[in-house]
Amino acid sequence: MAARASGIAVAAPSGARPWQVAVDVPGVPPGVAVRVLRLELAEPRVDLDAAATVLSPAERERAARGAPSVRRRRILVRAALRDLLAEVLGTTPAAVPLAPEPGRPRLLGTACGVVIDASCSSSGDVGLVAVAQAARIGVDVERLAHDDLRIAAEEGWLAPGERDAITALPVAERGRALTRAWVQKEAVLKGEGSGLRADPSWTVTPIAERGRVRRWWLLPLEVPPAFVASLAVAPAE
Amino acid sequence: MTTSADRARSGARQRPQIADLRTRCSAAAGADLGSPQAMHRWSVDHYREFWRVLLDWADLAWEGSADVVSTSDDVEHARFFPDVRLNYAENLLRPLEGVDDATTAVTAVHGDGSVERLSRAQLRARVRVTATALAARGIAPGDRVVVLAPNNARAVVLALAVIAVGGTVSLAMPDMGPTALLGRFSQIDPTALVLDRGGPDRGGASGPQGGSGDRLDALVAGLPTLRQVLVADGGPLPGFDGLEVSALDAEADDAAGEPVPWQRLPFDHPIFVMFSSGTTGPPKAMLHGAGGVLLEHVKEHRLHIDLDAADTFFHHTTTAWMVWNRQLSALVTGAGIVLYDGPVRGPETLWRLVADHGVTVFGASPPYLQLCQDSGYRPRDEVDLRRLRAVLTTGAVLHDWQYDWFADAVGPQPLQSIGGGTDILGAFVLGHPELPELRGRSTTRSLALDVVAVDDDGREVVGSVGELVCRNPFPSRPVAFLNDPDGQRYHEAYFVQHPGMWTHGDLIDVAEDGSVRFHGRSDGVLNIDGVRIGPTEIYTIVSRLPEIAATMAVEQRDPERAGASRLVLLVVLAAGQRLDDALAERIRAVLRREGSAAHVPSLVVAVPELPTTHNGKLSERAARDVLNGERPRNESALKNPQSLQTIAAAVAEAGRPAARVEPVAPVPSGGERGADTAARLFRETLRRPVGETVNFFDAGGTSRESMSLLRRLRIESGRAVSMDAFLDDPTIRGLSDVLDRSPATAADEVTVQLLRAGTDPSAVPLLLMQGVHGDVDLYRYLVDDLDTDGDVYGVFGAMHGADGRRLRVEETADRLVAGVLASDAVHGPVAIAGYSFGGLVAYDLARGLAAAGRDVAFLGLLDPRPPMASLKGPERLARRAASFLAMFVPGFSDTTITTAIANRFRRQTLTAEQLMLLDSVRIARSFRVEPYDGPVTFFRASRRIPVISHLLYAWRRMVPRLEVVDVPGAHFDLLSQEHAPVVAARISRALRAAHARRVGVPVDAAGGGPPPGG
Repeated sequence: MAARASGIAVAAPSGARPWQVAVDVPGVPPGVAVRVLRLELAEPRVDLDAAATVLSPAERERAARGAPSVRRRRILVRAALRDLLAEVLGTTPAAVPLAPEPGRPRLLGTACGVVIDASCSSSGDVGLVAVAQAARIGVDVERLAHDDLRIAAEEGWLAPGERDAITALPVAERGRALTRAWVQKEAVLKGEGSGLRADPSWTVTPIAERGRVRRWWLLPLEVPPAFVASLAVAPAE
Repeated sequence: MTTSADRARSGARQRPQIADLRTRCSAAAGADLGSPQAMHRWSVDHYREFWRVLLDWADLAWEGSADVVSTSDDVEHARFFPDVRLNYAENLLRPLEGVDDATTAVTAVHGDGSVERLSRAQLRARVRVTATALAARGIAPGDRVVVLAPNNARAVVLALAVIAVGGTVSLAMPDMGPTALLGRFSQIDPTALVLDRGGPDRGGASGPQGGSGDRLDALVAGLPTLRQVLVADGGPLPGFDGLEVSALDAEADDAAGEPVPWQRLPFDHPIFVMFSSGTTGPPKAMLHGAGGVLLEHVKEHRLHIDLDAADTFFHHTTTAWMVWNRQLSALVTGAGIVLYDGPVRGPETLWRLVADHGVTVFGASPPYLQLCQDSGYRPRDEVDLRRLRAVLTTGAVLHDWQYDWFADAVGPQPLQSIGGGTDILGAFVLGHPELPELRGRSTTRSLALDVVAVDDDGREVVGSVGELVCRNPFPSRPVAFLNDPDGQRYHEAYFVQHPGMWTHGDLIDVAEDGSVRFHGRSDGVLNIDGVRIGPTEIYTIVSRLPEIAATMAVEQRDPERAGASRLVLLVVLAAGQRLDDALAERIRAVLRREGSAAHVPSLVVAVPELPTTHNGKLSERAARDVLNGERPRNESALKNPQSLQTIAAAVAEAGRPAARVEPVAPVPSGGERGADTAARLFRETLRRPVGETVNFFDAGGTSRESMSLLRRLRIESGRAVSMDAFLDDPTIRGLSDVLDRSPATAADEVTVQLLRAGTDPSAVPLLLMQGVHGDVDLYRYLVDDLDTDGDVYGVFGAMHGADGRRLRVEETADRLVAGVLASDAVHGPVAIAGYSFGGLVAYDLARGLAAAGRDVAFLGLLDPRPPMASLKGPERLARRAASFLAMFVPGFSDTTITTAIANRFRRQTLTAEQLMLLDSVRIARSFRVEPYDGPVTFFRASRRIPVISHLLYAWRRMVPRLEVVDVPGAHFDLLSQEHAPVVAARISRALRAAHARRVGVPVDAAGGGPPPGG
């Protein structure tokens, strides 16, 4: 157990890698188990080469296509995903049967969410990996942008009701509410598998930390104060 | 000269009450106030004496000292009679000298024709019992109580009982939607909610227990300050967590104990919370004080209408309008009041009530009279109007020709047009018992109110149009706005434009004789198709565009369509900017998005400068005058009068038909090629240059940034590229290919857009049809709540043919059929649904797809527009009358009265968007139901005017397999956030049933419960 400078209480790293931090997720729906790892991508002790060893050749190749920061992020996020799934499945990270990228993380031979589901996200130096049993999940993290409501409205991803609700908030709270609405939408759309191919304005978020959208439960995740993260969980039916 | 006093009155009434008061005023003035004009002049110049004399003359029940009449001469802050204490209910109900206590005080007529009568004594007794019951439940001064009741005797008893014990009451109709109710009541922090869900006679699907439960839950949940719910209708008690719920039963409570005394409270003690109908945002909540309301209404009823105990007063209203509070006060005169809580079924409805109940003074709306005129109904030929002595109208302009019709079809009674507002809970202009009716004008201004027309600089003008202001204090101003601790909102509402005067926002002219005519909303507010818009709303939105330095919105009479007007937006561009089509489109788009369809100008015209007064204020009026070809009335007040001719020329040029039909050049903005645009946007979004084939996400771009990129593309070059198209190849080359390949929009393009991904690729996808705006935005909440495993798609395409003609429903559907058949995303069996106009499209799409051999597993019509063209003659007439009448019932119609009036009397001044809407109605009307033998589920809105069924017979003739499912809400809010969950649940269930039917599984096994009934 360690308390970081960020003030967030964190559990011991699950995969024995110092940049991975287990995040507690209170309030998940009954019957659902969720594990979340937060990644500190800029952690000085990160051993990129060691992390890359658990990736498949295709995954390494895809990571290498990105700019240096993108490569670093893709390796660390994918490695953490394998670490977490390996623990859940009782196997080694390299042996986790992940379907090829790109697209939603999926274990080969299973349908999304039936047994085990996973989702990843990153923004700046923060990465998130989530794995759930008996549920579909989506996760998203975003750096707090001091977003202008008007710009967001022009981008077209807010529903009118959301815009009204945010407008009703004190000015100081609007930026966080906007970013939160975005991560919640993205978490849901990732969970559903459509991503941004479905119009985000059709996912109407509660403009609150917690709430429901369709069959999704929205839960906040603890991340450093400059970020907002949300987990969407839909219990398997 | 014919006056109301001698024209229609029986001999019993010789001298109007105002003559009696004049004697007293003359004594106070030491001069003869012989003419109504002299009396008005004196009452304004000596308003303190006038109100003091009135207080005494009216013989009201009060205590304290009336020495201080008004604390100052400042209209905004003056308080009247600070040392007077009184109780409004006591004054309305106390026994009156010379008035038989057995006289009928309340005649409440229900929709089924049954009548309840209460004498003054009975009414007083019932209020006393109810007040005692309320006091026993802790209601006391300071409590705000919401009363939800139709316009019946109980509403009167409840309101007076709350006021009697010192509470503040706010009324609304029980069938208003929770959004409307919460928009009002969540502002006022009520401690108690009193419910009258209507008697059993009011029945129907929206009856007391049926549809109201969910609405009540939503209402109660949105009012966290509530401590208790009182049920006054004798029905079963609903349950609410953590709230005390009890029956308010007059008879049971009768035995409950000693009557509580009714306290006399300060003159300004608030008795009503009223809401002004704002154009945007929640309505303003204002408190009206006991003394102000009482004195103003005594003045209006006794002096201007001359009501007394011999009268029976019927002003048709609902409990949610200020007219209700005003007619309630008529009890103070000893007159009886008539209430009606039923629907207006036809032109004869209200006239029959007038005749049956011996109404002497009848109030109605100009649209109702217009309906009578239009339908050829002649009250004098149909009913006995011998007791009727005056007719009042309010709420809309009464046109000249309506006076002619009235004289011919009703009789010689004076027809009085009253103008005032909720803000003052009273009238600024109205009739006068000693003055002859003037065709097209209100006879007089309200006594003691210094109502005049002023020019831009606040100078009084006589005989020409100016801004309606009141220059002296009056008791019935709101004592405060709620949620306005420093009075800022109150100040901004009335006192900004002309300091020291109450500026009401109407344009009037006042003639030498003191009569008044309304000329629409003033400078401050545009009236576009009956929708009131403050130009500042437009300025606020447009000012965010960096290309615009200054802007002015002007309502101009449309030179091409007589009687119509249009919105012209004048813009002064920032240095170096040019007004091209793209910028004009962007201005329109941002106004539509952040304002409304009504905010979208017909013309956007660049001008070098805007007319400005010497004080630096923009003068919309000057621009409007010159655009209307009139000499500006305030030219001398302008510091740049030369700007007007430039503006007139620019608008004339921009409005030339040739300029308007010129096709919009396809995009390449500023000559930039697609590849350059794409490279620039990548560079700017990613903050560094990247190669042509580098994946946006490989380069570190995030999904959020991809949204920004597409937005900038839309704004800077007017190109809408879908996220789908971008994600297919998120590189500079991919994007530039998209830009170069697709022309802006192909007229025949059909979009099949994924709205929500399903979980089961084998499940039947649901296609939602474009609505009246040509998009699928209206299904937003519905989609959220659908419980289906399949994908949900929106299907939409162009609304117009290549020749610019609006497509008929059948043509639209044909294109969509082709689009769906060609779509990669949708194959195999489909489910189809559409709302309103989209329901008709859905119907024809289903027919088309079925004809093409596609399996249509489900067709859901969500309260589709009635297929008028499929009706037979008499059916059509009945429907038309009913739909017009529905506009009088709040919440029943999607057309406001003002909109309908605008349509009726001004024809087309409408923006392109509004024209499109009207077009849609026209097109829907011409739609014919052709046979379809597949299964159809008809989702019918529960709340509807009785006569307006959904013309189900017209459907049934053509659809043998029609199932009807009732869903909550009225037509217009069926898909709102409140109702969408239930509608979605019923659609989901019907979808499952359709699925089960298709695969031959019993419905229950498909998890659906019983099949939809109907």
